[in-house]
Amino acid sequence: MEHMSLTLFSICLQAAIGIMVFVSIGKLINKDGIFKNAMFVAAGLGIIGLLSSVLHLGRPFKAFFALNQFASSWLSREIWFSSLFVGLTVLAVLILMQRPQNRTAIKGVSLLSAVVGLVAIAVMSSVFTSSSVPFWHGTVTFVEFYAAAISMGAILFLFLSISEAGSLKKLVAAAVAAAVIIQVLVVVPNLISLANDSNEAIIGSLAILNGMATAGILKWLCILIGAVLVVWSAKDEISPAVTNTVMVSALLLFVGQLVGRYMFYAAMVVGSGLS
Amino acid sequence: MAKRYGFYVDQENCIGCFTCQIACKDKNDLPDGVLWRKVYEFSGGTTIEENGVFKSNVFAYWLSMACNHCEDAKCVTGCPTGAMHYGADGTVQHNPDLCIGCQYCRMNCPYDAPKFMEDKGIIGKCDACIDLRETGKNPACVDACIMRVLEFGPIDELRAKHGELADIKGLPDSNITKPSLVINPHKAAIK
Amino acid sequence: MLSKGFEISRRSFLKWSAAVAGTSTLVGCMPTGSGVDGQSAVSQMESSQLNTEIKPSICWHNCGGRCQINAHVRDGVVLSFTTDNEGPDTPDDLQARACSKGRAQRQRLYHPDRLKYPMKRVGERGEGKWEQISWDEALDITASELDRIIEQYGNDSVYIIYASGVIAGAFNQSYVGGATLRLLNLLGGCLTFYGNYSQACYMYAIPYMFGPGYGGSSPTTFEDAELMVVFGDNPASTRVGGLNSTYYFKLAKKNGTRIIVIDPRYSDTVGAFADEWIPIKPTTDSALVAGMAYVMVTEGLHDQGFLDRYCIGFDEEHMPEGIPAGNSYKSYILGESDGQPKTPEWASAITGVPVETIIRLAREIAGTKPCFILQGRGMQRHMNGEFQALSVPILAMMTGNIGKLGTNPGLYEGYPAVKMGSFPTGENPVKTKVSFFMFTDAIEKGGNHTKENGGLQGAERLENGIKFIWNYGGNALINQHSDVNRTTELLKDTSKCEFILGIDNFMTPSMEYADLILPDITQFEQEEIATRALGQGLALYGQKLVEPMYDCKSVYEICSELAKRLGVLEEFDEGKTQEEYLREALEVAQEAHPDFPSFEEFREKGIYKTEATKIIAYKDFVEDPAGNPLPTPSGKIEIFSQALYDMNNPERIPAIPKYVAVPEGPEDPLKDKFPIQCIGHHSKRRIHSTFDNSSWLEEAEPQMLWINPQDAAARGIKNGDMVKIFNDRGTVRVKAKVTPRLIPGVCSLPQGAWYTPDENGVDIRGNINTLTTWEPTALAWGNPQHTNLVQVEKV
Repeated sequence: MEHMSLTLFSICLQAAIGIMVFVSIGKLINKDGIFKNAMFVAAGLGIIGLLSSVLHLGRPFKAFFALNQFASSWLSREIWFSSLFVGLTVLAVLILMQRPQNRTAIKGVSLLSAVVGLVAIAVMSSVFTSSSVPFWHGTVTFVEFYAAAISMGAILFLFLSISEAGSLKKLVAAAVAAAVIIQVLVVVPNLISLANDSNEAIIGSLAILNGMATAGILKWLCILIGAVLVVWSAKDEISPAVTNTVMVSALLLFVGQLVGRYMFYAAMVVGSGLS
Repeated sequence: MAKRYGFYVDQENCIGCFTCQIACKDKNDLPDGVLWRKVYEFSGGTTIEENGVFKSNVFAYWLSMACNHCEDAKCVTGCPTGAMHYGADGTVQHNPDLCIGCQYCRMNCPYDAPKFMEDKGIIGKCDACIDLRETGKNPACVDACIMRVLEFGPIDELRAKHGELADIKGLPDSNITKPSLVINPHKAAIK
Repeated sequence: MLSKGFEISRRSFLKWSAAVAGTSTLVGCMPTGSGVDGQSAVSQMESSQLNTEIKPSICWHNCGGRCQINAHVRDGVVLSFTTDNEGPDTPDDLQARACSKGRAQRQRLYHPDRLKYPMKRVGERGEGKWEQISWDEALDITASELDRIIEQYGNDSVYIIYASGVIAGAFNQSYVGGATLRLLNLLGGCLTFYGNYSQACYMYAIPYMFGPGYGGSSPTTFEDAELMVVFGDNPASTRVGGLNSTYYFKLAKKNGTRIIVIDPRYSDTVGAFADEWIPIKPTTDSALVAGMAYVMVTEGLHDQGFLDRYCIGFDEEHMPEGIPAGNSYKSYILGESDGQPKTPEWASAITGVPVETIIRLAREIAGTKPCFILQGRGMQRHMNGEFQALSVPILAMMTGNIGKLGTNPGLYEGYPAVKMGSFPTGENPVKTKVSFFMFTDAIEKGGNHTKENGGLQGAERLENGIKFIWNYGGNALINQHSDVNRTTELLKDTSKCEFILGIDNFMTPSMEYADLILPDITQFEQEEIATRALGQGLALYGQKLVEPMYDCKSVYEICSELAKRLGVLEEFDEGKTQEEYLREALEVAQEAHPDFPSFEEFREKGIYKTEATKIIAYKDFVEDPAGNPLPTPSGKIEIFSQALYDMNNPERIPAIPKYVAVPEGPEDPLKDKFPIQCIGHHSKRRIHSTFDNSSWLEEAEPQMLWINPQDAAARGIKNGDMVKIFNDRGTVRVKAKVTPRLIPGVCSLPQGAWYTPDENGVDIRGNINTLTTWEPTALAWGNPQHTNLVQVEKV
């Protein structure tokens, strides 16, 4: 499972960012909303993600060297923004625990964390679009990353704070549906057009993906069924059945995006296919 | 502008014998699976039997390649720690003390030059035998070559002598990183 | 896919070599530096090639070359090798640069699988059960077995088997004697062999045409040819090392020489140098020659004047006395003897070469002067190899391309040599010789191996067969000999061959079948010399780089110890040291070459080269055939051989180089069952079986079966799939390299891989000899190891 740590890093972090985006939206719409579970999980996922990124290093104890080259390296910028996001999220959680009455501060820090997180996703995407792996080039990577963040973040937000967020479930369903529809509309045609590409590296990447066809089917089934479930349950009042459906939907979307992300990394072939 | 150094590969006369690859392995004591210089075989075309006779348009050629010490080295710009850097002679050098083993340079180099040294947890790559060159010698691969198809030197001089070509079939577009590389192509490798 | 024995763990490699050095800091090759100011701060102290003691050494296995490799030694450990980089490296004075194998020698020296101490067999022979014993016990057993077998069966039952792992040293001479032969000669002699696995058919047959002492023009003259026509020769993989043919191909190409290569495989030589590749079915080269001869004769393109003056047997007007009409080559070509004119259509049907290509090629060869016609060794390692080899020179004769600059008589290249003395082996009182390829027959038949049924020379019959095998640096006992499965069965019977002594660096498949194993040192643990040449003559000195590893001893020491035990030590070493023998050998060189350095100087530099010369084969003969006749019965080149005619076996041994269709060739009905011709080309990652256990070289070119996409598709085989290759003699399982670089109907399993049977007897490493036959060729009693029919299936 060579690519697992990178996969965990980006999926956990993006899920956390997504959650914080909806926590912030939730706080803006519902002034009394606290969304404690969602915030805790976001902080937890963020920490797991960062740890995972450190553990994939050959020299984890020197990880802070990665902050050296903000001026030139997208990877350095990614570490800055990811750390900043996680730091702000943890700060928001700490304030929530220590000064729960200071709602303005919690809201402000959460909002800032969400904004930093959204920027972090753009930076994360640039890490890959600027690389020498042709398969990662183009807007498709941005779409994959943002769609993953929004779809996972929205559904996890709903599931984790369903008592407070129940009123937002239509918004959540709409967000998940929109993210998944955009993901499908961008990613699938892109794959089809790549099939005619003569670049050796692209051919190599597609050959790897071909060998993982079962995983590919799993990815899309999970994502699509997850999205359909949340849309379908959005019309109903909150009930144990609906809660269960949301949980299944969250699980499916998380697994689908995770499998997809693993494939994204596994398909790495540089240059013109030299290897 | 500072002088840049690079390799010339007379691919037309390369027989794919692997001597450069092995000399590099021996000199740098590289473990199995790690090649700082690698010989690639490219072949194509068809050979068929039709009405009892053979027809063929097959071709085969080799390319010996290490780090191309690019002018716009994406491994250097991408490196989050500064471990990958330009040396005084413009070659791309790697500082193992700064390397954290994130392997982002492997995603950035279109020539697959940086290698992950699993036993050390960091990257390693062709340093153009800077130790030998500081004493006036050639890189190990150059002096190993049986067919005398490798040269190393100031890239301006190599270009003046052998032309400017760095784009052949099988290699990424040289505009990506501006490699310090000059190739005399095999006839079947000409783009 | 590597079996366990092939992996060298880097950790153990380093830990181990460090232990030998008594230091824990061998890892010193990784550049370290500040990198902050962009200055390299590589510690030169830690470089594997700086601040080291440089000692010259030799790479000396059985390829076409011998090369200088220079060891970089620090604290008693060889850190790396470099090669000859002295001198101007111009075409007149080339550096003798070693190839990939020479550069991988550190993996041989420090291989964790080195044989480390003497061992005796405790299970059945070949079962793989061994017990460590002391040198004293090992030498005592060997001496007493030698003594017993000589006493009981006679000296001609003791056989020094063909071996080429150590082919160049003065003492370390596995091929033609050295210390081993000297010892056995002192004990009354031993059975030796004639011929070899490389070129048995060629070296046996060519003297019938050119007389003994035959030879070709030197590679230095490639560039003087307008056209080079190369039959089955792949120097880019087989003769790569310094001062070898390949570099001169480059010079020829640069000089505008057009190069045509005829080969079933699009070899590395073709890819790098050829203007045209003519793919051909294996075993059919002589049919292609006949087809081209037909075009030349019928179009009047041939050089009748040259044939009349220098050759016999081409036409009826130039035949030996008393031969009935219809036996000349021209009669054969025109079909006057057998009713079948050898038209391009006839040749095309046999060879797979298109009719128009045959016609065009014939016209081009006849119309281009000078033309260098060259053959390699692959095309004669066939069941009809003698007549494959004899056919190619016909083209040179018919076009008068002999004896002039830029021409070659269709033979291998010739070369200048350094005259060098050798360790004196003395006279072998036993004159009996067995064909190198028939030793299994001599074991199997016991006292019934004869001149008639087995090609024995020097005696009518081998009285007791072979009872003692001395296998030093050799892997032809099992691995490189045909039909491994049959050979292992034969050797398991210890009543036939009673004692097998093995001396080697590694537990090769052949060592597995020894009764006693003595661990040899490599060339790096002793002082030695070697000579070799192609473009220039070359002599090399190898210093002792490190002390003998483990409990290993040199073959000289082994022979001295045995001589002591057998009471001939005084005669064996004459009271001299090894250095004294080396000095004596050098005196010969110093006498022959006025510029040859002193012993001390030669030992220091490690290398001596002659000047590059251009040798033109048969120049004197062509200039003055009466004054410089060939050593043949007629004094001329004999296209027709009376001696072959008198053998009275025209179907298998024709007196002229006819196309002889062979069993397991492209026309054999056995193709219904086994439709693919299997050849075993020389890969560039091994020298025969030497270096098969080098992980660096396996990484460069893994062992795979070459197969054409047409044949692969018909079997559902994709590149990299595991396949099995089998016939009635055995089964091999390896990965497939699906490539258009080989014709359909043929597969190629690179020769030399170490036979590694699994529990079902399937060879999972891919040794071609799991599939080859014991059946010898008709004239030379040689090895038809490329003549095999097989089936290939996806596993």
